[in-house]
Amino acid sequence: MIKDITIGQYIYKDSVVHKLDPRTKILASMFFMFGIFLINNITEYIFVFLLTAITIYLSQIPVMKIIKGLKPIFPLMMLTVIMNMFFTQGAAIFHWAFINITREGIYLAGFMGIRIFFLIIFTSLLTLTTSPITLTNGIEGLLTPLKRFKVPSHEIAMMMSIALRFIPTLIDETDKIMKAQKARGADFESGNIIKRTKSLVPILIPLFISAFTRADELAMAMEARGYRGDEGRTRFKELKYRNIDRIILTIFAFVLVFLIIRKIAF
Amino acid sequence: MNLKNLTKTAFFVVLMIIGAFINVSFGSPVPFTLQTLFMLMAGIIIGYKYGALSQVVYVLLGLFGLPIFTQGKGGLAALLSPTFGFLLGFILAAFVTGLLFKKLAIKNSYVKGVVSTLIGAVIVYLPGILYFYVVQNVIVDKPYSLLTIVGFMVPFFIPDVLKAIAAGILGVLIRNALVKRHLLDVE
Repeated sequence: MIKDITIGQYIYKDSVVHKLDPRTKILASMFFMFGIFLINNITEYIFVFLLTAITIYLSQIPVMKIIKGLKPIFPLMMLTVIMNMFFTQGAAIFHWAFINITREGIYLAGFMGIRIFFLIIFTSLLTLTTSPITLTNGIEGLLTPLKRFKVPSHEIAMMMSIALRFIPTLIDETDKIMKAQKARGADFESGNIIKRTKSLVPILIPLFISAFTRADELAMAMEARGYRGDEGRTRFKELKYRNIDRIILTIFAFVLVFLIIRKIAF
Repeated sequence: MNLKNLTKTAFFVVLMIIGAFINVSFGSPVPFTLQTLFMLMAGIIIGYKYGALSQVVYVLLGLFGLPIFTQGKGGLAALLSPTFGFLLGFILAAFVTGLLFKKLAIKNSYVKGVVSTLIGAVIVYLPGILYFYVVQNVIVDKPYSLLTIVGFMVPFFIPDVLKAIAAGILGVLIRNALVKRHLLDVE
């Protein structure tokens, strides 16, 4: 059951989108996310469609892969659409018992559905085109200005990398422990809540002991290799904004600012 | 930051990710995963500071693509989901639970653990409700009153109390087991 977790949907391709600085991609996704809730007419939706289509084309990610990623979100999307359709006040065009479908409801439902659709496709491109390690580097880069407020940006990024690295290891470990305890006659699958909680003890305690022993060993291994945190650390691969990054960020920021001003002013 | 604490916090995050996939509800319709259980234990096991930090790392990993939020959701789009506030609540609750466990003057550590986790479980709702309200009213333009939102959450109260009690007891049990094996420094 635990084996089902797939980590990282990253697909390697030699594309323009893959080569962008991870910080650009993170910021652009965020700008897009807020921007899409500020647009309100068909022309702008067509523009969003074109932007998404061009990005997918440039990234060389197969369209089927992206559609597959939509599957878990689909129920949520339908729920939003249905909620909007049935619970919006306005001019009724269909009426049966307590069900009331209004013109406004259909508009709103349609717009909400399209918004969520593009939102998920565009933001999923971020993880499809950026490897987890590059992504954590990007997050560290974006959090660095917060160091002034004592946010441990380097440590957070390091913990993210460690966590990503050890998920498969600890999944195997959990599986082993569960099987070992089942072989000893442990029963996790029956009884009331108290009995079930009790049955967790023989799994959780060995699991924590094994994980924390590994954590101690890892810390020692890192120290032995001279890891001393962020101070004075140099990198083999440094993040660098190129001209294309600057252009993309400027355009995205400009559009978002324009949309915000329009929303406030009108 | 002490390197051993850094790696332990990272491993706690991994345990929490795995915990979100161990479903112990077996048959009952409400999914009962270990996700909230681990979140409430974080403060007790690794302390309030690292407990809260582990939740920050967990939320960031989810936001940047790991499918670790409920129902396998993840990705930046989660920021606009009305229930994202509960994830922010995780950070706050882990901090509060840990701090209470450290400062409360109760002799019996199990009682102390359960009191801390119960208060922590309530704390999760504060940002949860507030965020729900803001998303519904500002972003989705479908206004709900605060009272309606609280109404949505009533069915979760009793399971959450049970989880908090379980988390308090399990947290202290695990903590004691780790301390006994010198895997945890206690001040």
